[in-house]
Amino acid sequence: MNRGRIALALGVLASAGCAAKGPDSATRMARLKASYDHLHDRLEKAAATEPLVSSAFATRGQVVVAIRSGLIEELAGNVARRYLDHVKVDLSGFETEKDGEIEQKTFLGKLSLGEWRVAVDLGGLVGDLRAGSPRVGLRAPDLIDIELPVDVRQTEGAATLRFSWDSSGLAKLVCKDFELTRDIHGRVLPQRHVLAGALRLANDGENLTATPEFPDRHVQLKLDLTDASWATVEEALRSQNTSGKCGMLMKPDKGVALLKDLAARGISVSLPKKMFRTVTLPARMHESVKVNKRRVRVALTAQKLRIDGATLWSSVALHVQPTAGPAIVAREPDREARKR
Amino acid sequence: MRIFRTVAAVLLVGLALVLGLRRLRLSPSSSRLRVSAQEALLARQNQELVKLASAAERGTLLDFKGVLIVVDQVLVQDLLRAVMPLDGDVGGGFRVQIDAVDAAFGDGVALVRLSGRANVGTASVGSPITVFAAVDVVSLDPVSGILQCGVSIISVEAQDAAALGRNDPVGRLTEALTHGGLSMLVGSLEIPVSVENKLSIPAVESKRLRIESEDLPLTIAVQQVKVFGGRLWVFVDVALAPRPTPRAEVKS
Repeated sequence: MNRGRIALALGVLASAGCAAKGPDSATRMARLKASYDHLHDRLEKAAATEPLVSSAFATRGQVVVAIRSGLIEELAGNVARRYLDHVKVDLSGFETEKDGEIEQKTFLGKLSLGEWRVAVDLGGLVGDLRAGSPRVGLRAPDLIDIELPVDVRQTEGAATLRFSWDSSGLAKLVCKDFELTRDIHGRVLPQRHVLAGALRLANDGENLTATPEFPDRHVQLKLDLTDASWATVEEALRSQNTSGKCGMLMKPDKGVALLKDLAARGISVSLPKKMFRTVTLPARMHESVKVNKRRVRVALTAQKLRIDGATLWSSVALHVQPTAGPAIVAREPDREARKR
Repeated sequence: MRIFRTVAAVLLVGLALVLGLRRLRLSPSSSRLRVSAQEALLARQNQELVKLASAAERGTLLDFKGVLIVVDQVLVQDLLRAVMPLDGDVGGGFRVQIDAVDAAFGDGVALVRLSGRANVGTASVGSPITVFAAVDVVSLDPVSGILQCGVSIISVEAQDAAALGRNDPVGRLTEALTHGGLSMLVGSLEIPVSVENKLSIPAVESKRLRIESEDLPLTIAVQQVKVFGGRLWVFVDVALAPRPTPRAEVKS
């Protein structure tokens, strides 16, 4: 029994010594090196076949930022929506008008009886725009194409109708000129437009920017009057349809049809360019960083920006500036640091 | 007598265990068992290479959905060189001065080799040393979004270990550097690139148009870091956080 215990103790001592030594350092190193060479070779061969790896290595610069198309499209789509979502277009001061001439065939040929002019001041009308879900796609080398649906919601508001008649020639002898004004109620009809444009990506060294390019920012707003207002217009025209005013020359039905045509064609509203704002993507470079509590300045030079497949690659060359000032004199780590 | 024998045997076993465990402990204080810097580095590289090679063979080496930041080893080297020399008491009675640095980001380990001199206290005698460290803690500053790196010890080599004292001085120096000494010397290293936690759409203020600025909040997080080909590859997850939209008015 005792011999056994002593033998066990000696065994533990011996095994501790053996375990400590193990294979000698040179053997261990040789094994590790062989394993390293094999793994390195595997990595190199496999990495060479990955297009993203090749793309990354082909991009020059000390810092390369790659952004996947899915993220860019999501960000660009959200930005584009914000350009036109919940936008109210104040139509006060907008006036739509039409004029024309009424002629009569006579044995002397066509004679002008006069000119008419109709104008609608959209004073209290508002266009209420809502942006839909945009279609977004990357286009090499640096564009994000956007097709943005814009829904115009139905709104109503006060408007003013002005109709005037200016007799000419012989008609002047029997017809008086007239001008009538009526307060009416108009409405902007619900409709959908699609604005097509793009965001152009650029790398200025510090920032990655997306600048909107929407060459056609026109939205044709179709209008209408309320039924009551159409009745008012018709009644107004009819009131002029008496002898001496020559309203009879301008048939009330015809006048209403003219106005309806005018409203259906709508008015062209050009959205201000300023609404489409340049945004800076959230990945940025910095001209100064802290290294162990010291400020180090870095000169930035923009390198390439390109869309390659489903990835945006942007890179910057950095030149670290010499740092002036004394070297850090670190103190002995405190207890907290030691605990960590 | 039998009791004495039993006690002696137990003491012998206890002594054997204590001695054995001390030697088995792969701590820096055990000079015979401390592996060489080269061996420690190779072991760590192999560990990482297994993962990298497998990912590359699966075609998922650069499998990212958000943002990938690629940092060249030369930049990290230059940033560290810009603040050289570094000098300080690193603990354990050692004073270390680092005056040269090399970075090699290959095969799984973002190796930073710091060269300088270690002395014991204020003694004039000391030894040239090389500290093998790795950039292995990468995060984004929660406020600025700037990429931050931490450096940790792999191993330390001293040209003249005897000049640093007795009882495994290199082990003690390694321990001192591991437990706060290196972070005192090198501290946190910022890389001059950030991923911000918002996308800002600027305001418009004109005679006929007034639109307030708007921030689209983003959630950002470093998902993983890989090291190969002389570069540090930082995978950052970026996603839009939902938010209500404001109103704008256009006066035509």
